[in-house]
Amino acid sequence: MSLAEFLGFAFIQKALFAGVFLALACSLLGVVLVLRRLSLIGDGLAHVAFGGLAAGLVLNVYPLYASLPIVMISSVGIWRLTERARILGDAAIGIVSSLGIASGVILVSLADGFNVDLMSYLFGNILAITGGEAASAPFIAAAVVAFMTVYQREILSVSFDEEFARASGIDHRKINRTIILLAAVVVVFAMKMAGIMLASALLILPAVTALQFALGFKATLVLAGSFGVLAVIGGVAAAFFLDLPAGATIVLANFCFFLLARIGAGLGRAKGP
Amino acid sequence: MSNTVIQARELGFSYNSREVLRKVGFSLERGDYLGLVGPNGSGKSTLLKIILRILAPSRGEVTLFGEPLRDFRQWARIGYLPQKTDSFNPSFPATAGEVVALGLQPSAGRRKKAVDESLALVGAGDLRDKLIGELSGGERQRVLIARALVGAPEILILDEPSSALDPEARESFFGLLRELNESRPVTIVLVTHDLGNIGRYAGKLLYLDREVLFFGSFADFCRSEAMTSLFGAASQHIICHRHGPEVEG
Repeated sequence: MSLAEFLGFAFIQKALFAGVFLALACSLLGVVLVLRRLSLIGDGLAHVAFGGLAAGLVLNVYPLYASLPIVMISSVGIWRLTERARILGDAAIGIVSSLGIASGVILVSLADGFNVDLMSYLFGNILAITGGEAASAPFIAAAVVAFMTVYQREILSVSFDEEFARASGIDHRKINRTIILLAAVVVVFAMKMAGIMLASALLILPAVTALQFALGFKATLVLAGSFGVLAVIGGVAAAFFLDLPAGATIVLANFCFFLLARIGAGLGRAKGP
Repeated sequence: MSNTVIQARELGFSYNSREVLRKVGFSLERGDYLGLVGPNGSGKSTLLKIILRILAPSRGEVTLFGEPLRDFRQWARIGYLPQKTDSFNPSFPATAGEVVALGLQPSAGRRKKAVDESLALVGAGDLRDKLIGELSGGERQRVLIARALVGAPEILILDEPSSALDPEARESFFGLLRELNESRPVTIVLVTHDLGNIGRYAGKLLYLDREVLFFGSFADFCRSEAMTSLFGAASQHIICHRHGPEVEG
């Protein structure tokens, strides 16, 4: 099959269109989350999304849209637990994510067990993304890019040294709240791409791959975005031609980039300055 | 027009029902150089964080340039060097230049020039493109001092700034502070444990141990009988002798 034929399929076009924008949003936000030691928030919020999806299926509301407000509220809950209740970030993520899973399991049991829809969200399938979901992707990416551009100084300052940022008059609460709310939106849509089990990998892997190159902040953001986008394109193509699950293939493509970056960084260090 | 740049009145702060500060009050004029000293846990860093609005006092109030802290917005007029300069993520992806630029307000013009000049001022001009995590403790400290200075602040608040510097860099750093204090003049608040040396630099001294035990000029400190009874005559003599014979009581 030729490249033109591959790109001629409407579902491939939709998957690549949505995937590129969502990967960009995930990768940029991922850099900030990794630097703030909040890497696992993607995992935690995806678990919360399971509860939201189950609620949607039980209430007969489109699952993705049902889980979006629940995940956003939960993300604020994590932030409040760390800010106000003096609970460490990883513990707060653990509390909220286990609450999400437990609520989901109870809702599923009330609805007489798992059904096919819920299972499809567990592992995701970007090739089955709907037109409406694909149309949302550029807006999500635009929101993340706009936030990262307009507040770049504030984000870098809060991530590097929150005490100094506060002494500079930066509203650290506003920055933290926006980061965590954007993470919630991105995770819900990333779930469609890679599933509940793997959504957080789309946030973490491009970021840690870019960090291997030991560059400045802007350059790291550009690299992370590039790796995330390339992994989606490569992953979708590999999934189509090799008949593999798309979400897992995208994650493995991201991992391959990470591995190559690690090897490259190791060789660079061995060679010396 | 009043020259008072910092005024603290009756400040109190409690943490987990433990009283950290009690009725702390002092005021500084433009161009003052204050040494803030006291034992570990005496509330020095807490006092700085209250002045910088990082912590809210449980009692009392602070004014900066005559404006109550809750209304104060001109943070570009204040430069700050936090205490824990070694606790940063060593793989943080920011160059020294990017870190120094954090000390500039978004509206500041000629950013690159300001960053270069500030790095050069602390003898770190060659570090601009290096990652902050690749620098030694002393180099990182100089970059963070450059970040505190880059916005040409009118008040400099420094929490144990010389801890990671070698003796030569320390002398050069204190020389720079003296020059800034005398020429611009920048008001300096310097937290230090080095009571033996602070008199060489600071004209005023605030001895804090949850409450203000002494606030005044270094010369008055050396004449203070209360301080003699706190430190003992021999220790007070050593502290004041290093400051120079002219201030000995």
